Amino acid sequence: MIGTVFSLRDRGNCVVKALVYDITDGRLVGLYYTYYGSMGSNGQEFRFLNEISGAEAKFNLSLSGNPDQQYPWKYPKSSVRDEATSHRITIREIFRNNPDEPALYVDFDAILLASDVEDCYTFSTVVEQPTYQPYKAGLIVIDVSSTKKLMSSFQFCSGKILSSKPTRQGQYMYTIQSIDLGVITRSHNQLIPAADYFDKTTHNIFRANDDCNNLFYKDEKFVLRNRYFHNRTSTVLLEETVFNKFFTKIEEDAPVKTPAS
Amino acid sequence: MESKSNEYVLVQDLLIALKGESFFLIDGYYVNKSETILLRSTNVTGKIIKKKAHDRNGILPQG
Repeated sequence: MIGTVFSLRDRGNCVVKALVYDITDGRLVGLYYTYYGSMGSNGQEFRFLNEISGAEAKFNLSLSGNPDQQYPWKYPKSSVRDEATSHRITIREIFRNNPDEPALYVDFDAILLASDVEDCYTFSTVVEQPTYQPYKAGLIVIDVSSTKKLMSSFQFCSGKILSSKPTRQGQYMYTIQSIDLGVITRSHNQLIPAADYFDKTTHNIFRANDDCNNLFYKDEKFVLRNRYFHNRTSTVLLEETVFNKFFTKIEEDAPVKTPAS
Repeated sequence: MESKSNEYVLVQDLLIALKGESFFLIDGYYVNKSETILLRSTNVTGKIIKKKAHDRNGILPQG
């Protein structure tokens, strides 16, 4: 499965963070792109920095904003093309920092990055509060969702998250079944990126009552927003009034468990 | 938004929809007519949703 995290502040400096995975096996490739600069209404240049390699990619982006939040999928996509390499990034969602302002929804769908092997990486958005946190090199723990494969990296290891909890220092402590180090604990300033929204949110969270072929599985978490049940990667959206019988609400204030292996 | 060119059909029964239900490809999502189901195309194309066949006159097969 695929996943990413980004946060963005739409005034002054903007930051888009992306963790990129190999779509074929969920392997965290470890590319981490950040956009710095001001974003206007249209045609701004996005500059993505690979914080591992230091390479920089520039994209021209036209944004379409002011969406009706009930129909985010209808907004025109903004395709971004790196003219130098013909690689493409499509951004799916961006959220304004100020909730009083209309949100920008931008497709953040796929990115084709120049690499030695010309691999194609795809990532999907995670709905996250658009707060900027300075990047800290260190552990990034990734829940790759429906495959139940959990990866951690950058310079650490791969493993599975057994549990996570916030610390008093404003970080998150993870207990991880590491592939090569046994059970370890690590803290990081972010929640699991691909699970951020679900783990931060204690309301409007539901579990699927049954498997649905390859679309979703029993007990998979969905969040209800804009009248639709979304799975965490927003690959499946189901209208609430029609499909509420397929979901069971998770009680508010109940601890949201991180799925163990 | 709905046209023959972007019409697709579900090729297997699902918990949430039955085989034969039409979907329209809109902005990367397959959307059914009642707009109650949206499936991201990259996840389902060719697996459970396929392009709907039309006859030579471009008329949708009946039934």
